Amino acid sequence: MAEITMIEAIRQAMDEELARDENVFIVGEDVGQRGGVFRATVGLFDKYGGERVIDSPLAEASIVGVGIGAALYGMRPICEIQFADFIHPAFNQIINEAAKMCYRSNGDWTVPMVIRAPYGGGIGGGLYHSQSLEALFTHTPGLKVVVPSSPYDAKGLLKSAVRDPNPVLYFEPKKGYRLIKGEVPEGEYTVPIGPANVTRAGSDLTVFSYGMMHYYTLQAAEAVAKEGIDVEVVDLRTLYPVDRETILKSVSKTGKALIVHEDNLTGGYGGEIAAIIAEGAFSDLDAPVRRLAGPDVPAVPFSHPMQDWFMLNPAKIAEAIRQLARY
Amino acid sequence: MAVPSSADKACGLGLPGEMVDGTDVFAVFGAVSKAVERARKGNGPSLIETRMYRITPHSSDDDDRTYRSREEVEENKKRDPLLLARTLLEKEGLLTAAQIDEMEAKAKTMVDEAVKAAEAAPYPAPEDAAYPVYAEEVRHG
Repeated sequence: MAEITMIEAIRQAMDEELARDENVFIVGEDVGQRGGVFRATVGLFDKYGGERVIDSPLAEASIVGVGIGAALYGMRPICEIQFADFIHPAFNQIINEAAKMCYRSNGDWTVPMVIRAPYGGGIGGGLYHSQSLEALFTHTPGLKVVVPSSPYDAKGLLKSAVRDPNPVLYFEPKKGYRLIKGEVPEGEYTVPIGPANVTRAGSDLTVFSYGMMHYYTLQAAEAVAKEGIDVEVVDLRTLYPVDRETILKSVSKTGKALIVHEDNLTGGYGGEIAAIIAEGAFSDLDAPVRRLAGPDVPAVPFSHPMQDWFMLNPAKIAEAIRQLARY
Repeated sequence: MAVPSSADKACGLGLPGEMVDGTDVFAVFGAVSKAVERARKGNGPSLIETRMYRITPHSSDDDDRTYRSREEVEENKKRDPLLLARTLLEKEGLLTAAQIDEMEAKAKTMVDEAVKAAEAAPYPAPEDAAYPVYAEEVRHG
């Protein structure tokens, strides 16, 4: 098996889906000739042409609106939002149109589309190139929300997202695009949307995370293992709909739960996981459920020391693990 | 765009719209002066499209070689508004080459000094990033 980067896995998934199904097409800012600002679509314009890899105007509402229309017509759009931070103009299209279409038409109309959006900070991007926005969409029935943390999952989940009959928001941890490498098989495979993944088995406590923070969590778990703390790590992967069963099974085993995400704490996705644990595994808990998340400020600051203050990292996660282990 | 100029979109907003050659400093000055005068009279905004070419890449992360030729960029550098303005000012005898050189040197010094001052300034305290999220937390006067 070849070891490739996250971004290459994403590119491969799109390449293979474009080749597999002529209804699949890509639309977004600079996705064509430029190959995307992160190079996720590099080579696809030359291979599939400008009618299937479409450079759009700088208008996110239109990118998603075009996608919804094409999906209703039977196509399989992959809409690229250049940075998740730019998704806000498309919010109405996503929430009021894509998410509600199936329900409001009693299933006569469905919206099989993928919206890809690079998210997250730590890249010197400042307020408008660093946002984590999953919580805005995990509150919206009708959408699926996926966040991969490895090249294997990134490719397999994106292929599943393209084939899914529903609108799927696919948030890509941009800091990990080239940092996270992993083995990806040569042949065809998919990773199902829905199940979480126990990426490290352990007995003392469970850490739940996703995306870039899952990558860091594995490093933190490795670090504290040397101190005798045996951590189980669950990569949630699909945030909506969430895999309650895997969450509860793990907490029942370890008795302690820490939830880690980069997005700010209040109203963040971690609250939902904490609620699931409180409702479904209360009698198994040996400690209060803990959340480690970004601070409650509107965005990741640009200044480097301030960015470091905002961002979680393996050391901060390891410290939260130690505190919970001591409880 | 479905219309030849962004300025045409002003029509739907009930505003005056004007397209000017954005490389022509004097044409831009004329159009903006008219709009400013209109605004100062309380007659509301105007829409001006100053049409020109982006000579530099979008940002330090943008490798523009992937989507436009060097020839195209070089050709447009000849239409740099600063260069065109300089040539015209000299030709019309409004300023001498020495006077323009002096202005340019002065501008360069200002920028260099600003860069030096910014680079010498200390970083903020990391924990100051916690504020001000709300108006009540604003600390400076």
